[in-house]
Amino acid sequence: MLKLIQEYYFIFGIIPVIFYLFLSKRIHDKGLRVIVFLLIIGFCADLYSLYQAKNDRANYVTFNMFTLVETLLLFGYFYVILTSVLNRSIIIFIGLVFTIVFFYYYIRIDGSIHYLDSCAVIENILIIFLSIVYFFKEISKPDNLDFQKKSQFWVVCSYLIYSAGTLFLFLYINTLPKSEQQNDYVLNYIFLIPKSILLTIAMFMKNTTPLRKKFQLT
Amino acid sequence: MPLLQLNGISPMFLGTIVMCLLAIAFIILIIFHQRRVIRYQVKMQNMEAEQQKVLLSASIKLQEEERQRIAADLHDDAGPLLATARLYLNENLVNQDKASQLQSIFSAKEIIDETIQLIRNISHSLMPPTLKNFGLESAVNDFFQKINGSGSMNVNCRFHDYKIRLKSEKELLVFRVIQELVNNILKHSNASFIHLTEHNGSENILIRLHHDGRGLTHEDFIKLGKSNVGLGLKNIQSRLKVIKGEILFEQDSSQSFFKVTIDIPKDENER
Repeated sequence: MLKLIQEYYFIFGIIPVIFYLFLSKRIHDKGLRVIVFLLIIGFCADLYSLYQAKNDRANYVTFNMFTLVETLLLFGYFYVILTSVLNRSIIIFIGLVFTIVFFYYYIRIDGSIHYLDSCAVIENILIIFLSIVYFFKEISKPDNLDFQKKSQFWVVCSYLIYSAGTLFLFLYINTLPKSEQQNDYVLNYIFLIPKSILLTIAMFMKNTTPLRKKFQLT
Repeated sequence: MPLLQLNGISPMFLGTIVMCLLAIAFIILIIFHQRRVIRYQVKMQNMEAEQQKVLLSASIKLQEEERQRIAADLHDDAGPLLATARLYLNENLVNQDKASQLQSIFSAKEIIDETIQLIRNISHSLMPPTLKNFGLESAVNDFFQKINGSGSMNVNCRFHDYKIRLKSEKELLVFRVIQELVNNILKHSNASFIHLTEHNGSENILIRLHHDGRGLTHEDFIKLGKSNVGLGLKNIQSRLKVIKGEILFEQDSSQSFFKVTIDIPKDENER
């Protein structure tokens, strides 16, 4: 089973995209486009990684660059769904800091021959942090009763579970021997399954129009 | 496989399980919290339904009072007037001399004119002609001019860009709400001025009344709405309910003015 997951893990990423394409007419959530774009990039990166692996070539540049692109696109997604000025300023700030830190590590450790596990860990921590901010923002809205019916909820859940599940993997991966790294990396593929399922659920969610604010001209 | 060797659990595996459980627990917690909020909202809705019953009975009472007033006006004023006119035009009229006949006809004509005026007044109190023909802005202006004319208070109003009229039934309800609010201010607040402003949005209209007298806060309004007194306020609530409007009573930040804001959502054809 694990072997099967290890070989065909890249399929999980494309399932939500297929559903998005099928349901694109009824999906009006612009944020989902960011996620779909990210999934397509992820799928391409996975295919390229498999191709490189078959030719026994090092693939760290793709992995590392994907970490950067994934983080920035997810920040972009959170920028769309967290509308307050403070939250958006924080997202821009941490996005800039993350990019600087990423290139710092990339040059210092040489990202072309090493996997930047520290950046992946920072990415996961930041995604968990933004997910918590999102949930607190949602529950603090008094008129937002069924936010589970929004696609945003499922997208954030998927990335929260995926980031929480793979945090310790990226934290320890470089401390393990090479043979164990291969085996333990299956954890990443396993967590792609709930992520893919939750993202697929997100594609089925209809976004409701927000209620008009009372006693304000609209 | 090291991943599945549970006898010597690695920190990575343990950390993954803990983090995963924490994330799932967090999401479940959020969902349960939301369920509790929904239950609370349902309770509030039930309370609102109760409140609606009170409003309904208040509006029925108002309707009955209105009918009684019209009946009284017709019975006590129009009835005797027409009876008097009939007396002037009785069968003996033909036996009277020419001058008396003319005098009787003239008197009957005067009484009939008076009755017509009375019926017109009753009809105008039911539906002001200015409102029907020229809209809310003119009707409010007219109403305010009459109050200004009495010299008891300085009232003025300003409408901003009220070009597309609301539906006539809606305008009447809004006008009645404004009338009730102004009457309340005149009766209870001891204010020296009332200032009304109207702002036109694409989705709603805001009408705001300012005055410098004793006013209500929203808490007072809710309390009075639930109590047996304050029929006028209940009527305001029930009228606004019909047009899905909202009302907010507040005191100005300077504590020297009270303001009432009415938020009226527009229908598609009113935008």
